[in-house]
Amino acid sequence: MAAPAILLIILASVLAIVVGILAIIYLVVPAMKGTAVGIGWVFRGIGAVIRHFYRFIAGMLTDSLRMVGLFIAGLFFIPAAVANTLIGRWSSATHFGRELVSAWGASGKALYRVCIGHPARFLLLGPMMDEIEHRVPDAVAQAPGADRPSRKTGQFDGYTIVGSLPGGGSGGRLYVAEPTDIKRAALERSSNRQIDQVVIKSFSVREGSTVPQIVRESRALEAARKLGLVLDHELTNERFFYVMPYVPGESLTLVTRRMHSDAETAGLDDRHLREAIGYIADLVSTLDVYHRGGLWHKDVKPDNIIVHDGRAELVDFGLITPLRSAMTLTTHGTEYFRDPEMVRLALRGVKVHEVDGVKFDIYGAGAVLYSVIENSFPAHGGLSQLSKRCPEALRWVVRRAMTDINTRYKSAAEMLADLRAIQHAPSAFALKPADLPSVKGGSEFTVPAPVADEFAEHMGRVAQAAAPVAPAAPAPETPAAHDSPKPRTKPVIALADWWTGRYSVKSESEQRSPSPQDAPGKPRTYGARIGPLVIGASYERPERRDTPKPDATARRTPVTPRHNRPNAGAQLKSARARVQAAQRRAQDRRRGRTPRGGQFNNAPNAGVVVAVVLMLMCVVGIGGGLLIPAMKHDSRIAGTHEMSDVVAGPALHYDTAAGVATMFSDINDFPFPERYTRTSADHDILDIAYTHDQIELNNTTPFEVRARFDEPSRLLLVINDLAARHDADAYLNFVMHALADENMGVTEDADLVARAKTIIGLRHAADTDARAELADWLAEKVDPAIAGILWIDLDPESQDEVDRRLITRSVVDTESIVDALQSLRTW
Amino acid sequence: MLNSMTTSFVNRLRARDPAAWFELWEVFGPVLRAQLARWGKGRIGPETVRDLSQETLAALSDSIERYDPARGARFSTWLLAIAKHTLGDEIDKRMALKRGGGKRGSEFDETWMGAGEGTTPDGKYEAEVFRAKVYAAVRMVERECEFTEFTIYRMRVFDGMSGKDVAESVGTSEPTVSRRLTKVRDLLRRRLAEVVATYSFTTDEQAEAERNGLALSPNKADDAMFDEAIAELYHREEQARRAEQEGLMG
Repeated sequence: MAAPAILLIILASVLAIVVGILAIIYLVVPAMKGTAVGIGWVFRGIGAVIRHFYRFIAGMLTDSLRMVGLFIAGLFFIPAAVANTLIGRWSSATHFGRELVSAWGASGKALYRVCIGHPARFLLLGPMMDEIEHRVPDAVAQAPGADRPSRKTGQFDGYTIVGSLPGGGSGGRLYVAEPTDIKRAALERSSNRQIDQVVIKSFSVREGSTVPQIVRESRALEAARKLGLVLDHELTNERFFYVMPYVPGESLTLVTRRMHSDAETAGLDDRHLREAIGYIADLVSTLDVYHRGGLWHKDVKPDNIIVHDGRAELVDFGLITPLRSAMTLTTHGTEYFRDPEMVRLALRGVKVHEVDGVKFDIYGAGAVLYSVIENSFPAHGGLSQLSKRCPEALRWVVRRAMTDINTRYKSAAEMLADLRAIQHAPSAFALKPADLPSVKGGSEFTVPAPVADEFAEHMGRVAQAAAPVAPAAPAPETPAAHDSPKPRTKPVIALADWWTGRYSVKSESEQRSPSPQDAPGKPRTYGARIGPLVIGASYERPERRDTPKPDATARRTPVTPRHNRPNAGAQLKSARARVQAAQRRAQDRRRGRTPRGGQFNNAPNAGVVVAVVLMLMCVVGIGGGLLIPAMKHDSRIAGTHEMSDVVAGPALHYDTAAGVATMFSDINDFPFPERYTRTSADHDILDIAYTHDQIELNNTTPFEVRARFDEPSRLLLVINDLAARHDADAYLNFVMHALADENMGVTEDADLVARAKTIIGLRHAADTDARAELADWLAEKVDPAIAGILWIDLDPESQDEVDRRLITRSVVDTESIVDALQSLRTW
Repeated sequence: MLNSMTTSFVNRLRARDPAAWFELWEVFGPVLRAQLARWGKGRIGPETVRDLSQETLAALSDSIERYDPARGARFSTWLLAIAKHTLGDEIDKRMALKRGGGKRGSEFDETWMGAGEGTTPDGKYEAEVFRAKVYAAVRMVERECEFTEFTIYRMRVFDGMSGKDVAESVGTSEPTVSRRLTKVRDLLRRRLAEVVATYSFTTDEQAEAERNGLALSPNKADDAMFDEAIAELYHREEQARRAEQEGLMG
């Protein structure tokens, strides 16, 4: 029995040990591990808090010291700048002036960080401050210049400037202008399109533009004229300007920023992504037109892309270069959007026609696409990593556009096809790079339209950017397209208009069976003509919105054969009728011209109104903040009359011109009107007045008090008329003369004035005769602008006041005296 | 002792070959900018940093004639010394009084060259120089490879996609992906060896690749580690450039 029991005990012990071990392994260890992790997190949290405090304190200390140091450094520059100015060393003075501005500017920034930046970040408001600190300087930097050209630049004949645009890095100034009627007619005739507003890019040597800038821009002029982008130009010895169509809207940089503000931090959502792809597709489409026109834009970047009504337009033709130019390749462009390979080639001194400029524009388009997706610059060039949410196919497009020049897209059309495929795919994220047209089937997917037509279409789009755009929607896939992709056929050129030479390109299949899509008024479906895109990538293009102008149609009327022409008189009559009709149309257009959506408008916008309102609120708030405490202070004094108790010195005595001396035992008894019974404050006024030997208020103040110290008396002349201000000194001398000897008359003799002063010292304010003399003098000889005289006697030893007399012209003058004194208090 | 590639490169620099100078600028410009920004923190702005990094290379073009390989200085040290000298000149210019003011030239180890956070400035700088070499090699491979091949490598190694996903994405088979990966990797090894040899003056510098997990001799067993190290260095470089860019943007 003992054996089983022992066995049982052993088994139980073993079981207990096993259970114990298992409990330790599965319960205690995880619990300890969890505790350790928890403790770790606690310590990490403590560490984070300590780091946060440390960062705050270190930042505050560093910036405080830096602020003080910079401020002191700035103080040293002041005498240096002044001294150099005085001795005529202008360059040094300018240098020190710059250093002063720099030092105090940096000091101001440090002050900002100490007062606002660091405390806000300490309160975990870092993201908010980041936004403020980035957006405000950006907005300030991008603010347009003056709305009018300076006198140095001069006016632009034929144009009325209505506003300005932010200038780029080319050194030119951009103005928005409306052509005059004559100029408008000329521009419309030459460009065959409606012109409402234009942009004038102006370079003036007098305003800092350099000759190389002007040469570079004027070099691009011919190329831009070829595209019809430049409407007018003028080149003189001192300035150069050219006129371009105005494209309203905002830059892609701003649009990108807004899209990312709306989206989450992970990247753009589907809607914004599709929108962004649309913009880039527009850009690439425009580039394709340029390239087939033999031109290279050379400065593709978000700031040069204007978005309006859901479409993106490429602007700024300052660097446009013919692809076959014999000029040496330059490194002009914008960093991050300029292919480093171009710089390398430019350093080798190669010519433009020796390189493929198309590839560099494509690189720029890829960089723009990258920046739209990432809301950042491609710092790594072609190797830049896309970290935000992005379809794999779109990554492929970015990489293909920004890769080495030899493996890049061969043409903008090739890139455009890929972008369109992604844009119109039912789900961009489901589309694989392998499904992209460029990967599947080479570049034969597109049949280029005649360049002239594309130009016209492009420019029509620019002109009518304000017109509504039909939302692009992916067309449903056609089973037929899936089943039997159309074989590539040689395009056939069909002449559409023998007079203008306009022609269209048709594929063989189109010739065989005319598509119903070609019916008038039906949107052109490109999917049928774009080989690889047929598979799931068919899309509709909105109908052309630029309808031909009536006069343009008239110009295309074939010439009538000689034998059918009317006689000269009839032709003249007809010509006059046409001219009158044209004038009527122009007038109608002028009368009926309404600001089209998105046209340039420099009227105060909502932002300006909000700013003004906020500013007014701030002013009212600050004013209230200053006035209310002051009023409280006054009311407190008025209520308690504390100051009247501390009024020192003698009472103010009041004399009238009639010589009736009205004595008052205390300043409180002075017959001020009811609202001026705050005697203590008025006493303060007097303190202000006679503790200054000369008080001169600014010109807008209708009162002035001039005082002279003449021991032991002080004499204040209270003037209530601005016109008399300049004569104050003379009047004061008169007063002194009158006191000295009323028969002395007017004299400028310095000795007499000195004597008069002495007499003033000898005669006291308590002297009734002396006051009577003054009162008489006031009544008879002095300009009515002199309201009165305040005469204060001082003790020669202690300099304490022993007497104080106010002498006025009459009792009626009390109000003006009070007002004059009140003005002093305000001062 | 200089190897033939370094000698050839230095000779190109001495011959004022613009391409060689641009190459140097492209590879080490960001490193110089980062280092100058650290040294001049709070004293010089981003634009000045950019100007100074260019001036560094200009100073280097003057000093290249006097370069003596027998001294055994590292390539990175060579660049660093010139950058320091350029920055020192700039600070001197700012602090100098007029002629006769008695302001002495700044020393290299003045207090304004404060220590960075974490590693020492020199350590950080050395790491950046090495990353720049790797980046240069990657860029060379990008230029030489077919677009699809390099993109496959990029998707697999840099983006961390699986072989299957890459194959589906590109529309090919997994073995093809594997083959192309191998091809790009081998090319990258070769180019990395060249870059390291070109921009290294000492044997210690030449051994840096091995120390950083980048075995330059083809070895099947080391492939995964090689890819991992490349990806890590690439991402660090990406972060560094983004940080520099944000600094430049203010």
